[in-house]
Amino acid sequence: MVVKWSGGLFLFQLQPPIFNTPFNFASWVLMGTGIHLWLISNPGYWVWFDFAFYLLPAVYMLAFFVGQKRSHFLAIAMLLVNWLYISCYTLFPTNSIESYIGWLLFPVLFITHQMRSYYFVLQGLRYFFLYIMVSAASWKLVQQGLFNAQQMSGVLLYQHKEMLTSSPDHWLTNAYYWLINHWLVSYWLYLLATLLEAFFIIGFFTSRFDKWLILAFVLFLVADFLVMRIYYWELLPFMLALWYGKYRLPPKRSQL
Amino acid sequence: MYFKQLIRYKPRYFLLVVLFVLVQIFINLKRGMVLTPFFHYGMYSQQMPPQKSYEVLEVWVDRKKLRGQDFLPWQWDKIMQPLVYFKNISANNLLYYSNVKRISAAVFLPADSTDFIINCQYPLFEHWYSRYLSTILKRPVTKLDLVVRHYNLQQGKLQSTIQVQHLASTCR
Repeated sequence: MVVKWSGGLFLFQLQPPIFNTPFNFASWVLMGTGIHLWLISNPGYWVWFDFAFYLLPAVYMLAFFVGQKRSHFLAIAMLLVNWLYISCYTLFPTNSIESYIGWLLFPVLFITHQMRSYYFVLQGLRYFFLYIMVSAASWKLVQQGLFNAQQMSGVLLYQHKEMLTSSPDHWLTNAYYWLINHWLVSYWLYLLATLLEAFFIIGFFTSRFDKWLILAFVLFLVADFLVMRIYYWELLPFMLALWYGKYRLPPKRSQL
Repeated sequence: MYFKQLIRYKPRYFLLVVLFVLVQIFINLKRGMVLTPFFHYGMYSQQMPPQKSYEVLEVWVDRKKLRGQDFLPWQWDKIMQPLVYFKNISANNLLYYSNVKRISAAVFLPADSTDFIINCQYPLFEHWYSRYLSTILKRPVTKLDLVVRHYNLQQGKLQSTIQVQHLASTCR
């Protein structure tokens, strides 16, 4: 929250006047209500939208420690607010909705009030995160990105064209051009990233290597940031699901 | 093991998870439209060879081009993304006519054009963008030029060409 606020990434700071229609049926249902246009026309409400989204987790935590029954309903409210906020937020010039999947799914965990339910949802989140990484590797096979030797050169040119042309003498531009022109080296980077993504398949069979998967993902995020200037920090909460993946099914009737 | 334990614990939770998995598989097989929270996590998986030329957005403030090197990645995205969205208005509107209207009608869902179509109100956009940019640059913006320039890939580098159009003209 602090990082987003200091980066000017709250909606009331962005105050976008423009949106984009994604190829997402759920977004079309939301857009059909006109809420995105209402927000654009009533910029004074941006701050309340941000307020509800960022403060609800704290309110939930407070309610959880006071009395569980209230927290159960707050968790449901949090789920609905998160879906509404993230679906709206990503209509505007911000980031892709995929990077906010954690915000969309984690509130389900807090709706549970039995330890066993909590366990199953947390394990489900763990498997879902493993699926994200393995599917990223699979798509590179299916959509044949892996079979294009100049794939990474093309990706770097597309991703950084504004940077390359605006800052031609910068060391980072020179580094990108080096990778672009040494396509074999840059292809190996792409291949290594794919293998790293595929490595997460091991998590479907055993949780013994979950700590290594956490390290692998952090490395993946850092490399993504350095090479692609892409920041998927908001997937980090899934590391909690990996960290606690080693725990076994709790005994019956154990409460949170 | 997970599914075995889950079905013994609460069969309806098991059914929910199975439904989730089936919907995700269906979305993957369709390879097109997604449905929150069922997305594609392709991460540059489609073939993307280097192109001969590229359209590049440029922001000129007080006759000086903004440089990516002077901004953190998220600041640079904040500067560029609204321009990408403006440039994409025609494609956005085309999506409505080619898909949104048709598919929504097929499932009896209202999809009024006023909720999806964006009008090319460039002066309004530029006025907003000027104020928006001044908060990022932390200084007033007196003169603003937003252009799309064509660059050719020659000898391993992007070389500028004389082909340049104003951002306003990209919206039809």
